[in-house]
Amino acid sequence: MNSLSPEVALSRISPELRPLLCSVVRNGRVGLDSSSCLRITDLKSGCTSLVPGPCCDRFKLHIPYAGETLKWDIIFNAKDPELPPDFIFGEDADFLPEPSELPHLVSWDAGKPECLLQLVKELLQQYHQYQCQRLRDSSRLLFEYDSLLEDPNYGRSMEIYAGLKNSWTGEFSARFLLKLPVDFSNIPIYLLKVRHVIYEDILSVPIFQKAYKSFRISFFENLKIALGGSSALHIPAFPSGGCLIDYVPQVCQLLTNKVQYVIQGYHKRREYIAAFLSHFGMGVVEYDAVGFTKLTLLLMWKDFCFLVHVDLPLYFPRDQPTLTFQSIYHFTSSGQLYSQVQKSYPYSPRWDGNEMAKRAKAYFKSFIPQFQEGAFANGKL
Amino acid sequence: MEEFNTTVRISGFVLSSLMFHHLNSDADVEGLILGESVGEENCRITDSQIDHIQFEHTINIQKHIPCHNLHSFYSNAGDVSEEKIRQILSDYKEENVIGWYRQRRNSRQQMTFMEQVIHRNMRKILSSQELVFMLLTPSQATASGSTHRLEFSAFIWHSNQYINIPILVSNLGNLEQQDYWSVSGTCSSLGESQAVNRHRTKFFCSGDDLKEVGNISNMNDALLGEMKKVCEEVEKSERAVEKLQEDITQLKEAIRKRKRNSEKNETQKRASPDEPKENVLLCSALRTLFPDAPSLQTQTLTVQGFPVLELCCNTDHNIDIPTKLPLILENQHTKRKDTAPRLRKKCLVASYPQRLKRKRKTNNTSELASESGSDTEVEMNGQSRSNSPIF
Repeated sequence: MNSLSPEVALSRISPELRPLLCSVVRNGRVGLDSSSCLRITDLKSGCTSLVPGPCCDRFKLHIPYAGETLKWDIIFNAKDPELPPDFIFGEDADFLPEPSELPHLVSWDAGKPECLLQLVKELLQQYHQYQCQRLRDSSRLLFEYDSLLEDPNYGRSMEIYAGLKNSWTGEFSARFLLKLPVDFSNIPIYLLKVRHVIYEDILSVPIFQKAYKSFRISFFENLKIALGGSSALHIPAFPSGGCLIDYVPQVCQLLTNKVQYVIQGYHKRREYIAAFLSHFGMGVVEYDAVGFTKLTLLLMWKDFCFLVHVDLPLYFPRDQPTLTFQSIYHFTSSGQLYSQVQKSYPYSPRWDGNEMAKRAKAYFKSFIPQFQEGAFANGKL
Repeated sequence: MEEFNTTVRISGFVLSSLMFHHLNSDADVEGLILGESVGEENCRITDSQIDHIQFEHTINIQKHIPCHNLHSFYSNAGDVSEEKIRQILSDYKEENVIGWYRQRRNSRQQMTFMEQVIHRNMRKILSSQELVFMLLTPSQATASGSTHRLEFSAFIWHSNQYINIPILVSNLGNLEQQDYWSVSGTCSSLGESQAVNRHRTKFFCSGDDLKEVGNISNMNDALLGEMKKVCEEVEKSERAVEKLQEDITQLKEAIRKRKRNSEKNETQKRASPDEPKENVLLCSALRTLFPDAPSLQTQTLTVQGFPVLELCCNTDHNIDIPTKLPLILENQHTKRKDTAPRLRKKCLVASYPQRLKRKRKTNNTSELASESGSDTEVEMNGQSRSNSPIF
């Protein structure tokens, strides 16, 4: 498959058809997965090789849908650019939409650049209904779909892709793409790029009994990082005998809580840094002004100067910040500045930022003599 | 037990005319297919006494009618217009329509969305229920474009889906090994000859040659005649050009020769720059004035001023004295007449034309000019003159 950049694809398309495709490749975001654009590949021409280019008028359009990629052939005629396009729906040979329900096909206007994009969206709506119809092959999946559809939180934003039923084993799988009603808007932008969750249900229905084979939730990578990684998410396992309409709200609640935690943590970290800036003033060397996860202080006690690096974890204030004391005079045998890490010091997650700064200051005063001794004893100038 | 078996047949020339039509088009083409649909029921009786019935359904494609444009008999939504189909058929009957075809370059051998809709609507309109859709998809087999591939097959609607049926091409000779023909046989020889005879005159001339062949031959002869004329004209013009080129060459040669000659003359003249050129006019003048005094005829003097008789020129240069040196004769004439004493006056010698002017102004005076600018004796009265020349 030769994937072409939008500019290369447009340059090979017949000039009369170019505005239509420009709208598709530049503004073409359809469906729930708006992070992926429509792509064009396999450009070909219906003209003879004697016709000078560019004259490509048929191509394959890649459409993200329910976690899959649909590959539809779109056929124009460069010699009759005013005629509407024709479609071959890839593997879905029995998908036959109703033309009367495609207004942009019936009233095709080659002069409107967005006409093709609108037609594709209308076809996708019919494709969604076609996939939902296919769920009728499995009563279990149909039940799951209907129950989710009734819930206004999920029913309005759902894409279904029903796989082929295995006539030998009777297994049938379907992919549900849901837009979860979790507000990610307050998560710091640098942590988050997308807001959707995909999960799929692979359901095995042997002839004699029903059983769930496996269940998987997929997140976009950035969302995982924003929420603390896979290990921090603790997504509950799908209960045996359970159904999606019960499970999905649990996942939503978990994610909501995680999001709140992350947001609160961000604000708390910002408050903490602000308090330290206020208490230590000129002693602040640098700090992380985006994520508020690090702070470095240069302090002096009885003519002994030292650095303090403060590392704030993602789940601050639940997790205690790490303090790293570093001498500016003494080196270790490996050539690094002599330092000591302190993870246990007086701390309470219930303190506000101001209190934390005061307590930290008091701790510095109490710990520094010990640190200085250690530096002189173990480090070398 | 029943079996249904459908076969689609097309003759070689119908298929080739279909392909030819598309190869000459820069777009997809479509049209209607005419032919006949024949069904046969074969019943096979076996020992098990279960009748094995096989329905053989054969669709013969006999003709195609191309549409001039795409979308000529249906709308954007795939609604088929019976009226437009009749217009396309013109003289043909609607009953003979057994399907339609489309040829689309560089696409899959699979019915498209609109083709399925159109076929469904056509089945509703046309009486034939076994409508067939023929799809031809030419494509390039190699990247260089040296080899092209054409795939073709037929689609019919059966059991709620479109099934793909391969097309059998009946060529000049049927290669199938069969004892009995199970398909519609071709016309018998009598029927064939009657049909051919009816239309013979449209194709054959009196000499049993195909008319088209004769027409082509005539056209070929006319073309050859025109070519001959053109060749003759070209030959004439080529010869004229050749002649002109020869003339040009000759003229160039003559010019070159003349140039060479003039250059040679010049070089000859410049050949001996050290040798003093003879003053032929002076020589002739001296010979005229002193015909009997060879010592005065010489132009070469020694350092002491004595004439060198050995270098005296004895050549008669054939100078026309009256024309070239008229003053000498005048001088000789006036010398004989004039006996008065002569006045000598020294003055600077003017150039010859000026002196000539002065001579002409004063009567009975004669003198010879010299360009040396030395003092010269001038006769003022002209009464008595010396016969000596003045240099």
